[in-house]
Parts: sequence; structure tokens; C-alpha cells
Amino acid sequence: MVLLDFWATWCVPCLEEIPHFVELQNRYRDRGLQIVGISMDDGPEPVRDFYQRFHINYPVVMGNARIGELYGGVLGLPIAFLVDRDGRIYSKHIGATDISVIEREIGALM
Amino acid sequence: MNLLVKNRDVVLTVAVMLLILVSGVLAFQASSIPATRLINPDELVNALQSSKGEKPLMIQVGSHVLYAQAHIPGSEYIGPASSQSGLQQLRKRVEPLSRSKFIVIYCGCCPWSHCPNVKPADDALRAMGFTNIKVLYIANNFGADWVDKGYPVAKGE
Repeated sequence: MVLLDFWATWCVPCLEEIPHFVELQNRYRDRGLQIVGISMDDGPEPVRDFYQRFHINYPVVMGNARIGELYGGVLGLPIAFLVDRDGRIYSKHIGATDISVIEREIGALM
Repeated sequence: MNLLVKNRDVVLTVAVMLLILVSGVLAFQASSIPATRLINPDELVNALQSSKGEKPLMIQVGSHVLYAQAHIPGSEYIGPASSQSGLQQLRKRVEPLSRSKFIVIYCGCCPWSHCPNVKPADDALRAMGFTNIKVLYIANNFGADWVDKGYPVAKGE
């Protein structure tokens, strides 16, 4: 399963979530969870810096308007999608989300 | 033992970074803009659709990726006002205008209390002497409070 996290370096609620995602990736990597960060920053420079400083342990790619539209419009941050093993979107979380909610969903998908 | 110490150091470093970042952003938070300087989405739509009154210059002061997905028709992208380059672009764009020009700035990147862009933009315009500035109040984000409400939207650069 994949947890897609749309975020940006200037988005404070996004940054508050990242240490929790790092922890989730560590805890559930061996049970099939892959987190992917999609940065909606306008350029990659600040993202590289944050990637190192936050010790992010999952891939982060640069997003754009087309990726946002493919996911129904990412018109506010953060937004996270949990995608199941069949590639279906299981849940969508708009705004900072209690990590226990996401962890429960991961458990349900295992 | 070494691993524990290393993990503790990482957690402490991240916590300090977050604290510094949050403090910095709080200094620019939108919540400190007085209510009298705000305009609600429905008020702006009414102003735009009315045949009377001056039409505002609308400036989006947030991220380009968000602007490209959806913005208010006729509004201009200027760059995130939380950055120096964005503020410079903003100042350059409005410099030739009359200080009484009706200007609406908006972002919608994040919940209102976390928006890093509108407050610096509002401050910059006021410091230049503009007297008819309104900041579009977007409670949650541009998607929920503008697009999903069915207000007019344009896409692209």
C-alpha cells in the first residue's frame, strides 16, 4: 500500500506531519507500506534541504498542476491519500490529520 | 546505546527546527489581520458580478502550482509573498498604481491561521501607502472555500 503525502516546505501543518510519517515508514516498511512525498513547492531547492534536515526516509518527488488535477485537485495542503494494494484510493485526508487515524487505516489494509 | 543517543539527537533537532519554523511563521500569520481588512468569498463574487463599483486588481500571492490548478479569473500570479522574491514582484507590480487602487490579495494554500503569504503581502502594500486593500478570507483552502462552492475558476499559467 502507498501513502501519498502532498506537502510543501512553506506549509507548517505539512511539516508537523513529516516526523510522524518517518516513524510510520520505519514501523510498517516490512509490512508493505511505502510512503511517497509529493512536494508542491515551486522549485526543488528548499525540498532538498528539508529532505536532509528532516531525515526523510521515503522518496519525495516534485509535483505539478497536472499531478494535482489527476488527484482531483490539490488546492490546499497538506492532503494525504492512502492507496491500497490494488491501487484504489482507500482514504483522503485534507489538512493535518491525527496520525493515529492514518495508522488505524494502515492496520485495516494489512 | 549509541543508536539511542543518535535517535534522541535526531528527534531533538527536528523538534527545535519545527519550533523555530513555527515561531517564524506565526509572526506572519493571517490571523492578525484585522477583520475590517478582510473580504469574504461571497462578497468578492458579488463585487465582481456587480455592474457598479470599481473592480479590484486581484493578486494571488501563493504557490504557482496551486495557481496553475485553479485561480480566480482575472487574478494575477505574483509569487509567494512569504519569500523576498515574491514580495519584490508584488512591489514592482503595484508601484505605478494609484495608492487608492482597490486591490484584493489572496492565497488559500492552507488553513487561514497557517497561511504564510497573505500577511506579508498586506503589510508590504500598506507600507507602500495603499489604502484600499482587502485580503480574501479563505478559512480552509482555495479548493474547499472557493472551487467547491462553485465560484468562478480559471486554470493555467
